[in-house]
Amino acid sequence: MKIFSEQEWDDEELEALEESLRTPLRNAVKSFPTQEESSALIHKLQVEFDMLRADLGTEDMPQLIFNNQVKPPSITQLLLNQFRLNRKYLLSACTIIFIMLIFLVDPANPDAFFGSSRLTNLFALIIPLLIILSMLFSFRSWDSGMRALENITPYPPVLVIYCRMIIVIGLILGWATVSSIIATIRVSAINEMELPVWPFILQWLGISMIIGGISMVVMFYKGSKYALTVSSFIYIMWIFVTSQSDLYSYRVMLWIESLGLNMSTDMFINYILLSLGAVLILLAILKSFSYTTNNNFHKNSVAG
Amino acid sequence: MLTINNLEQKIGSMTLNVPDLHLQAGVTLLVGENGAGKTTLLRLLATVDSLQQGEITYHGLLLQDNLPLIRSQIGYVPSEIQMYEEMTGYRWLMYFAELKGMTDKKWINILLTKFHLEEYRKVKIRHMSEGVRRRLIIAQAFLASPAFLFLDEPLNGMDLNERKWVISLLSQLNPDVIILAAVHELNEWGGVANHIVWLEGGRIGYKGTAIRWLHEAPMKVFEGQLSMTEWESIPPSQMIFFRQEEGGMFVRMVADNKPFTSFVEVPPMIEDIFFMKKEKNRKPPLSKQQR
Repeated sequence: MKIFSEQEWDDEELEALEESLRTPLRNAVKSFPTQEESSALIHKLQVEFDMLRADLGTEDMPQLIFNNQVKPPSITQLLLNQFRLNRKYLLSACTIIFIMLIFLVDPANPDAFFGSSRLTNLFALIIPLLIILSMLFSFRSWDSGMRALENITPYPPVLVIYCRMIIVIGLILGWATVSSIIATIRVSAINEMELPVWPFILQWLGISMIIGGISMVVMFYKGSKYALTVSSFIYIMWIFVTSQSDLYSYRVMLWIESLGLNMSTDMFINYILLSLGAVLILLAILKSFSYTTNNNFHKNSVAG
Repeated sequence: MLTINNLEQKIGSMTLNVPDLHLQAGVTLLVGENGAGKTTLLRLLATVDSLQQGEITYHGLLLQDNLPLIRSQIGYVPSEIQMYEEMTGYRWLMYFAELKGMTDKKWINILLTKFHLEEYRKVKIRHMSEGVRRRLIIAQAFLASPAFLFLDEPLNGMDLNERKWVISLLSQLNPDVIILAAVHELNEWGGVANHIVWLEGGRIGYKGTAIRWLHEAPMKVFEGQLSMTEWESIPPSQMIFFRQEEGGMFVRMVADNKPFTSFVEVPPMIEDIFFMKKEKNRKPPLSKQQR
């Protein structure tokens, strides 16, 4: 059977056929939806989308667990991390300050160096002040972007600040000891007399330990701003109380004698300050270690 | 899912107000004009700033009660950052790996390779171009493979190739990761964006799928080349984009009907809708009498 007749079609007839079929064919083909129609459809379906989302929210929500690539922090690791970050600046700043401190002391005039009281002792005034000022470095990175990134730690960011403080305080106390020894040697050599190093070191070490210790402890419990405020207040109070030593030194001396101790009032007070400072620093160290154990690490929720 | 409820955060004169927002897995674009609250929202979600009012939950866990856990799963890229210039590329990633508590250092090498940073391993940051620095900043956000990534204008300072490459990298991430990216060049993100959140003056102007965004405001977009005189006749409220070309101005604009014979109608893109929304909400200029 033949499908097509054997009739030959010419172009004009074909065109006429196309023209006659155009309208019925156009009606047969479904046109694409307009943008308005698409929008209307999506709006209608939105209720269904929202219901689907709500179902997903309740049933298929993945469980968030502690990131298994993250381990409890190691204080040693953090100390190294923070020291490597700033070692050049820290070492050079400390070196410059203490070289200046050594040369500020006139070996020919040791009174200005040792002083008749702690107030005239340059070291006892400058070193605690340096510790307070160094907190400004410890507490914050100067750039807000860096600060933001350094804050997103899976342990309290205070631990990072604590490590910076430990480094700075350690450097200051270390360099101050070296400077004290050098200054004492210079004074002894020029004046041809033997000067005890320990009582001199004790004069600045006691108050420095108190300032450092109290800052760390307050920082852990109350935050860095409180730490700065409290340590500054203690420093000012210490200057004030020292300047009023005439009012209490005699009574303290009598008390020392009643205890059967053989030392000066200054030495006695400095030993007490040193002991208190050591206890405070120990407390801060214990607190820092509490964050490094697995239990506290995962439970802790102290905000930065 | 990341959920925000009744969030209210005051920053200076602007108040960010988000009564209800759900972010799902995939890439969500955060759009809005400067000062709309994008950075504030990202900083809150990245736990950089403390929440003043409201609740944020990460896969059902409340932020306030689970801060260390949530932080262990967050990667953040700030819009502006002054990097530590003395660090090398390797040291930069190592620094953040140590801060995050990562013990397995193999990830640093993987990231250096993944972000094409191998040759910058021993180069100090101060010798790097802006694009390479930006790659390093993005790379640190990927440390520890976080479940949430908050990116504040991540492609700033990158050239066209780098931008395309970073976007394609994000599209290859685990589909369960929730990514919220504040961006200005919307069209280049079109291929990877699953959802869009539009912030306007501290409030949510739109939240929903990228597809719905495209059909939210039906519009006709035309583009073509014009003479300078013709170009000057177009009202600014209709002009989406223009650039000077040899022989005239290339213009992309909205109109109800074909505005010029040389123009062709083109499908609207994500950024066109943003343009229209902004124009729709813009207050009309004051008349002479009102002034």
